[in-house]
Amino acid sequence: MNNHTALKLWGMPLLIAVITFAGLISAILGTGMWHYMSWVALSYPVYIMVKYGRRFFS
Amino acid sequence: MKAQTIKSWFYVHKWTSLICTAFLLMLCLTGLPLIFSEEIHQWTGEDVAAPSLPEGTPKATIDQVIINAKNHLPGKEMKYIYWDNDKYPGKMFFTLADSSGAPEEKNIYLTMDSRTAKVLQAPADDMDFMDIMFHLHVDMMAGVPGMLFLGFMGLLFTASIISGVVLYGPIMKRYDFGMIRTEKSKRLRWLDLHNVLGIVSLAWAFVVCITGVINTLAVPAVDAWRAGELADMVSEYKDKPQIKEGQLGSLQVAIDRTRQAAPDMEVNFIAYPGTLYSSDHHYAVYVKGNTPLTSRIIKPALIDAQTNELTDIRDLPWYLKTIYISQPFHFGDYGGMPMKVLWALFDLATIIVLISGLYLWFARRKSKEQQLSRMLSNAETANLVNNH
Repeated sequence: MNNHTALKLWGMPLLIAVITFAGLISAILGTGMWHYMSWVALSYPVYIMVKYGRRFFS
Repeated sequence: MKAQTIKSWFYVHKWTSLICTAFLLMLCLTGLPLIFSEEIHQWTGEDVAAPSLPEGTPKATIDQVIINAKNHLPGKEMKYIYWDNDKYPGKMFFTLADSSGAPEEKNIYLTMDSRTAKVLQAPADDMDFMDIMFHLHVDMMAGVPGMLFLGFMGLLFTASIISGVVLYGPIMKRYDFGMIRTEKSKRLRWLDLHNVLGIVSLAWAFVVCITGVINTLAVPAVDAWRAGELADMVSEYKDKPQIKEGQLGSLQVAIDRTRQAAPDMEVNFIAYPGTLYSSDHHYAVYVKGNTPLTSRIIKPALIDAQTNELTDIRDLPWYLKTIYISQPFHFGDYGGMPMKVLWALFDLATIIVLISGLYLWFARRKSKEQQLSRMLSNAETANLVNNH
C-alpha cells in the first residue's frame, strides 16, 4: 500500500481517534476552558456519525 | 494482507463479538440511565437538597451528627461517612449495618444535614429502578463472580474492537470514508453503517471498555491492599483485639489530627474500624487533592480509634490508584451535562454497532444457507439431467 492510499484509508479514523482522546483527557485536566474544549472535541465524532449514518435511512 | 490472514481476523471478530454481544447490549442499555443517575435521583425526589439556613447558624460538630444518626437507627453500627461539599453542600452520607464487618449488601444508608445534625433522608431498603440498573450493570446481581465475568466479557469486547479495526483496512481499501451503499443490498447498507459507526466511536468505546474491565477488579484489588499495605501499616496492632463501638474516640479529633498530617488536602471519606476500608483498630480518614486530577487520588490516614494518634499515612498502591483514576473515564461524570449527553450519544452509537453486527451475522448465515441450498438443488438438477 502506498502512502497515498494509506492516508485515504486511515486518515479520518486516525484524526477522529486523536480528537476523541484529546476530548476525553482535556475535561479531567481542568474546568472552564478545558471543559469547553472537551465538549467541542467529543462533538466532532458524534457529528461525523450523524452526518454519514443518516444516509442509512435514506 | 493475505486472504488467509483476513479470514483469521474475521473469525476472531465473529466469535469474540458473538459471545459478548448480548452482555454488551445489556451493559449499554443499563449504562444509559446510569449516566444521568444524579439527575434522575434529583428528579424523582430521591435526592433531597439540604435546606438553606440563615447566616450565622451555629454549625454542629461531626460527633453530634454521628450521635443523631445512631439515635435514628438504634442498634446499628457505623461503617462509613462520606461528604462532598462541592457537589452536595451541607450533606453527609452515612453507611451503617448490624455490625461494622457486615457484608456490603447489608448496608443501610442515611443522609444527614452536616450543619444542623438533623436526619435529611432515610432511603427505603427496597431496590428502585436505578438500583436494579446499577446492579445489573455492575455484577448482574451475582456478586464478585458476576463482576469478574463481566470483566471477561469486556476483554472479549476489546478483542472484538481490535479485530474490527484490523478488518476495516481490507474492507474499506477501495472505498471512501463514510460510504453507505444504499442502492445495492440491505446487507451492504447495514455493513456500511456498522463500519462507519464502529470506526468513529472506536476510541470512546475502547476507553470505556478498558476502564470498565479495570473496575471489575476493584474487589480483589481492595483485598490485596488489605493483605499487603494495610496489614503492613498497622502491623503493631496485629495481636490486639478488635476495637468495640463503646471504646471509640472522637472522630472530630481524628479528622483534626489528619488535617495536621496532610494540611493541603481535603477530608472526604471515613471508614470505621472493622470495615473493608480500614483496620480493626483505626479510623481510616481518607484525604484527596484539590485539583480536578489530584481529587481522584485519595489516601488514607490511619488514626488509632482509641487514642486518636496517627499510626501511618500512605499513598494507595498503584493498582488502587489505577482503578480510581480510571473511574471517571468509565462514568463520563467529569465534564458536566454536555459531556453526559455526548456519553449517551456514544452509548447509543455502540448499541447500533452491536445490533448491526448481530444483523450481519444473521444475514450472512442466511445467505450461506441459500447458497448451500442453491448448490444442492443445482446438483440435483445436474443429477436429473445426467440420469436422463
